[in-house]
Amino acid sequence: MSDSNTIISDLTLVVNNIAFAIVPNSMKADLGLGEQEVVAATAGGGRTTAVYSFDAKSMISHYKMELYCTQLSVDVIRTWKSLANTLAIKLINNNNGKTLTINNAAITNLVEFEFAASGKVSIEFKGDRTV
Amino acid sequence: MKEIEFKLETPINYADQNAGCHVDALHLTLCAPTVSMIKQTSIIKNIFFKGMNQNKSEITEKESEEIKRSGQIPEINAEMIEYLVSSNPNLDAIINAFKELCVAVKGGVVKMPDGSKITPYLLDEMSTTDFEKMMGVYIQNFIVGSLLNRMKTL
Repeated sequence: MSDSNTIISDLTLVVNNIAFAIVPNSMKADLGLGEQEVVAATAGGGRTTAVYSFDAKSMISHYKMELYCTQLSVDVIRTWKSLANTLAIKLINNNNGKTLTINNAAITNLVEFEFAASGKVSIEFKGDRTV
Repeated sequence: MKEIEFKLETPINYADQNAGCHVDALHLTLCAPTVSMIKQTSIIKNIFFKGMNQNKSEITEKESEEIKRSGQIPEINAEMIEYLVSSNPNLDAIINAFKELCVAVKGGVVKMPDGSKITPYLLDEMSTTDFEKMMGVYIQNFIVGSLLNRMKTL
């Protein structure tokens, strides 16, 4: 399968060297590329020039995913919550082995475990820009 | 407790849990097994010696050549153990037992440079050359080495 005609959906999540299974199709990733803006500056006489700016505030990684509510998930999420800013995450594309790496990450959302059949828990990691 | 530093030929990229980022591990620390891991160490020892008895003629031939050359009984080193393990007919059983030993929940005899235990994911990331070498070093130092050297003097 070539990289150009295969949608990335088969990912392995590795947090602090431990691989985890996630709910299929639940991963959403902001790589921390940031938000850019182009505004017009007037140069007089009806002339304008484009001025480019970027918002450094948005240049952090933000990953959202769901896990099934197993005992393992409960245990590791509690540990991850206590390890704020020291989580190191890798996402591996199993089609080509390429990785996305996030350092100094933490779980930032309010974690709600759904203790029910097929119960899930949503987690959000924020950390350094993805490399 | 006895510990040995094992240098890696191919570094492993891992999450350093003190720094919170990914770095390359250039060495691992091998720790002596405890009684909680006796099942795995016994399996390795048992299969190793069974295989050694089957290869006895070959070993004796090699040893006698070495004795003739140097005039003394050779030291049993990690390379020799690696060779004996690789030529063992039950190599896969030794590998499985050693893998279990490495990542055992209670214990876990291989540590990363940050002091954390090696995980199944990291073990899978290791190069086969490093893994085989490490297995030889570990088995020699912590499982069969002392017994082999004692047997030599009998």
